[in-house]
Amino acid sequence: MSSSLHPYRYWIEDDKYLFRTPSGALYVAYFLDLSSLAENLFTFNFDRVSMGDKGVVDTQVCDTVCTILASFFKEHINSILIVCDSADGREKARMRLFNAWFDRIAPEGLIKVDRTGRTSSYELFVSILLWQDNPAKEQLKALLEDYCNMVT
Amino acid sequence: MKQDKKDIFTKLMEDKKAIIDSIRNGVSTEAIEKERNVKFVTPV
Repeated sequence: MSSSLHPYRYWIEDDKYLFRTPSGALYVAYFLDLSSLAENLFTFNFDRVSMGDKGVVDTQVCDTVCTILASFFKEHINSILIVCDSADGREKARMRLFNAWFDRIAPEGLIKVDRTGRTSSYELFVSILLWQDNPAKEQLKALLEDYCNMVT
Repeated sequence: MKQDKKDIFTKLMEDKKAIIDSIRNGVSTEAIEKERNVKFVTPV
C-alpha cells in the first residue's frame, strides 16, 4: 500500500477500531467474521459515530481507513465482502468513494470484483476484495454471484 | 442456494444499519454480538 498515507492514530476498543479527527468527529471501523460463508472472509464497515465541526472535509479519514485495510491485507488469505445498499440513499456515493480509495491504494495483485443488483426496494452494490493468489479466489467470486442472484 | 446461506446474506444487509445505530447509542460490542448474532474481530 502507498507510503504516502497520513492516517490518524487509531485505537482498538471493544473489538472495534476508532479514530477521532481534529474537528472532533469520531469514526468507527470494524470487521465481522463471515467464516460461515468462507474461510478467512470478513465484512468491513466504517461510519461516523459522532459529528465534528460541520463542513470540514477530511481526507485523512480515507488514509486511516486505508491503513487499517492495508494491515488486514498483509495476509494474502484474507478477503473482504463489502455491501452497499440504498437504504439511506447514499449507496452510489459510498461506492464511488470506495472505488476511488481502492484505485489509490491497492497494491498490484489485490483485486476488487464488483456486482450490482436490484431488489423491489433498493439497489445493491457488492464488492469482494481479495488477492489474486488467494487459493479460494474462484469460490469467493462464486459466492459474490450467489449473493447478487439471491437478492435480484 | 441453500436456505442457510440465503439467510446469512439477508442478515448481512440488515445488520449493517442496526450495528452502526447500536454503536452510536453506546451499546457494547458484546451486547451487539448477542443481539445480532455476529462476531466482531480485530485481525490487524
